Amino acid sequence: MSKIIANYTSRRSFLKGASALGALGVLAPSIFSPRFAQAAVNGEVLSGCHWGAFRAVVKDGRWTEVKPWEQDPHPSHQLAGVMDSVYSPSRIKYPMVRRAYLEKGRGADVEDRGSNDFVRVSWDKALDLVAQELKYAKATHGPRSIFTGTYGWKSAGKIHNSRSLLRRLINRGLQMPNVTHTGDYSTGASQVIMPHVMGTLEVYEQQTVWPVVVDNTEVLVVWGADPIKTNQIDWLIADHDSYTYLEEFKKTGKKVICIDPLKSKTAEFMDAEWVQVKPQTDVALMLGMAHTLFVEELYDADFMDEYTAGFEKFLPYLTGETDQTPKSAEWASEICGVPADKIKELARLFMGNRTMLTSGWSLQRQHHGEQPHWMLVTLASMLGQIGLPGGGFGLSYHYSNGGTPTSDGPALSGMNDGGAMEGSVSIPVARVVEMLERPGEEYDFNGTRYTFPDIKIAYWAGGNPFHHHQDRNRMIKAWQKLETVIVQDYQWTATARFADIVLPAASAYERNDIEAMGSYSNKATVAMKKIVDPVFEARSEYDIFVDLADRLGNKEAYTDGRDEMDWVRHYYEQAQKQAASKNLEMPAFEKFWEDGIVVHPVSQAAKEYVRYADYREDPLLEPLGTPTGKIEIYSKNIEKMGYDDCPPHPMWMEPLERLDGPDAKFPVHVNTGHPNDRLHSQLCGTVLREGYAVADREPCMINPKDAEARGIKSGDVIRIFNDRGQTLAGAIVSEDIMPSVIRLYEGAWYDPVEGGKVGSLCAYGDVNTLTPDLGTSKLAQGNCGHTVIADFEKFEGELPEVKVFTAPKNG
Amino acid sequence: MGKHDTIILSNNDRSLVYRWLASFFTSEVKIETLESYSSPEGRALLDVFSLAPALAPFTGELTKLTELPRESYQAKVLDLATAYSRLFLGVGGQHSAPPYESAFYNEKGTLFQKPTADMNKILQDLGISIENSLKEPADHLGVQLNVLAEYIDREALAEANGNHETAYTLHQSQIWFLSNHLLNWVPSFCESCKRFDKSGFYKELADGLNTWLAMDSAHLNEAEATT
Repeated sequence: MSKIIANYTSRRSFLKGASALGALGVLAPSIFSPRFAQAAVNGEVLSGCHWGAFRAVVKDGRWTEVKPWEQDPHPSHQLAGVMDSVYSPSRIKYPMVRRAYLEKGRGADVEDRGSNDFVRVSWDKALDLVAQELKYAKATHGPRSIFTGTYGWKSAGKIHNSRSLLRRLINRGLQMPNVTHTGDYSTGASQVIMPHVMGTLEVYEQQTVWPVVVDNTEVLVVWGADPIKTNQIDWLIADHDSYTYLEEFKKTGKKVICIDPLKSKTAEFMDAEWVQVKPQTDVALMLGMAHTLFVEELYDADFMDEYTAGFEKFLPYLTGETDQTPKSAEWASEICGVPADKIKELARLFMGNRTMLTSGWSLQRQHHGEQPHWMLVTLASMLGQIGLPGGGFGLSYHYSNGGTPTSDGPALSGMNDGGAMEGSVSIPVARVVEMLERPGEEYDFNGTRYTFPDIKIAYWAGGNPFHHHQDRNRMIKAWQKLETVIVQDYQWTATARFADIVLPAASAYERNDIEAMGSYSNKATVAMKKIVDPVFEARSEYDIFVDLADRLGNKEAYTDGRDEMDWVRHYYEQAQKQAASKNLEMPAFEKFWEDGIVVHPVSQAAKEYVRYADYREDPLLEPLGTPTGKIEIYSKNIEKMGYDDCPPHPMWMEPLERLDGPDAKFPVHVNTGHPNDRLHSQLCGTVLREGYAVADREPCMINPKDAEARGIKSGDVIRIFNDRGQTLAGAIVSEDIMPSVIRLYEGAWYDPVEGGKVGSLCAYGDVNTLTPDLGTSKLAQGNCGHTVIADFEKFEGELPEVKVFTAPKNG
Repeated sequence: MGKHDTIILSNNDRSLVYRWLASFFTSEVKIETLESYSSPEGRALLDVFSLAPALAPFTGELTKLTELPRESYQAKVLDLATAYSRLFLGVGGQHSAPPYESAFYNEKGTLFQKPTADMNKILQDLGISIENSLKEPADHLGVQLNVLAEYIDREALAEANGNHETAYTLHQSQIWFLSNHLLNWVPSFCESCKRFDKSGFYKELADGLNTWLAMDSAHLNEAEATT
């Protein structure tokens, strides 16, 4: 007999009938119901996400397999991570409250944020707390004391739009003037400068379509962009149709030139010529080309006369008349590192061929980021091909499969913010930290002086500023100003870890919704059917906000009497009506919901669309939306603003810091481009990471010369540092990056060795520990995520563990 | 009458031990929990559990807690809830001990994997389902410990009804379940608890559970060998 049994046997009735048993009933209640579980759900569900449409295989109520939609021409490998994210150990499972906050109330031990002391609370408790905080802000601090900027790539879906729903809560639920954001981290500078130059946003507009480019473009320039990488995703549901056209273009054998500090996926895919340019010097390179075109009298003077305004004011700068510095190819070469002969050769090549200058947004995500695209437009104007099939420039071929012909389908509308109250304001999105640092103080933005609001509470739903915002350490300090931080997400992002109240949202695959496929193509309308029930205590965005609106006493105003499926049907039927007005038939809602997708027809005209063809055809009848109606090489509006950091015509200006720049404090540039295996920070916590992590860290690409100088080889852990912060990363030594430039993708999860401590080493590889937080200029106040120099070394000493991705040890 | 009878005699107690251990994984220690354990009934319960050597250190921890002044219960409960969140609710990131078999089924710790499906099937076969208030997948440790308790109770019931064949099958089920759904991962899980728990409480709980499982399994197999 074993000892235990001996003990038990000798006291065999020790529990049975003993008074202690009653206590046990209370302390260890039964967790089972004596009934059969509901019949398990099996089958396939068609749904969609930023990475494309897909079929989810469900077995016994579990999502077990993901298959790309059959009509996706180029499915993204990231779909595997999408499924994985739902069952990721980094899911937020329950409502959580920071311990000090729970114990001592708002504003307690704010320096403790990020140290991971959380306590689970019930949904009722969590929602009561949130409602109480919102009411407190209104009663005590009044209008504009709550920030609902909540920037980030929320999940796809027109109903569970966390951004709109949150603002709707403040607008209709709390009924208080709101503080939200203007612009975004993608195109902060361009979307402000381009309306001055072209009269439109440009960055979010349909491009001359790909079929036209394939047929007509002779030289395709990809300038600081990587469409093969970034077109995997779409703000809505990705169609991936641009890949087909890129393949077609490649087959023609026509020239493709990638101007980039590193050899991009696109350069590899297209077998392109790689022109290495020093980061942040593109304006100088463009000026060198423009100068060549001018002095060699190659440029299209007629085009400049007829279609542009202010070229004559730009010319003295180009020639050096105003500053005694001709912006010659030789001058440019000194700055950008491209040989002068090459600069001239490229200028002549562009001029002598139908050339499409496509550019990404990296060029404008840097100090003085207004200038590069303005200069690109100036260069394209001098080439005289804007409005011709396959010529001109394009700022969105790399985004959401821009250039894919647009269908005749109806625009699908979605949840709105319910109408902001009078007195609501917004700030340029990337000035959020400055807003916290300088409440009540003034700032400039696009010609107007504004005052920063005094924010007490921030509510973030479906975004991760502790990934996308620059200068992590400055941000951590600024965040301490907030009395209460509420975060609603489905993953334990760094932002959630720095919050006071954390609400577990359902993923986009655990609720019903509807979304369009293709931001540019509008290829189809997709039913985003719930694949599985929300895990743990996660709840849909809509349900969470409705319950909060209820607590604020305004449920009806919030819901308009509709539940989730009522809204889905509502927006579908609105689209259906719009389609009918275009003589386009869409099936009844029930049929749509059953089929899961309606693909819309594409007209011949859409396949022949040439951007600015109308303007070229008749500039008087089809003027641009600029003050002169023309392309503004010189902007009188900007001249009137008198900004010292944004002159009235494109100009080369030294950024805060750059590789080989004057007084550069560090020897290498850090390229912070978009990742290939996730969407910004999304899916960083998934199975995809196994495919790219080096020594369990975010990979950092290094040129062999730089690696050798520091005794580093592939697989080593390195420490990258500057005067703003430090992070570890895993080295990949490769010739695919130019010397003195290293690449650490943005979006790696922040993993401080000492959680919450300003200046802590990041164990995983968050590049925003290194970047500066400053506006591009007073004009656009965009972020400068690409303006960063640093140094790096082989990491010696005890290696800190990566802790941010929940995974069991000894597993 | 061999040792098998002895097991039947002690089954009631084994089942209670499993349900009792499970309760610390399915929920945080609440103020009411401490109040209950400090009541005469609660203390009696702890006295009894402490007779099992495997459980003595953990019951000792609990006893210490109940001896704290009432006014410090609140802070203590929050200490434990913080430790619980870090260890079991994912807050601790990689420094945690996910209480799910799936988490140990693959290197990455992905949840809702085959063990969840297997456990769903087991619950279905047993004709039971998890209470709606417990929003955990079926491969949660607390559920698994309760399933084992269920097998034990059913064996006892079958034996009491003279249904020896069923009792034998249920006895076999326990051996199989222990080795295929508990001993295959709980030792690793307990190791994580020991490494990452800063409260001391969950470390003792994990120690107790680990030792208890090993001894109970050895005992079951021993009984099996002599039945």
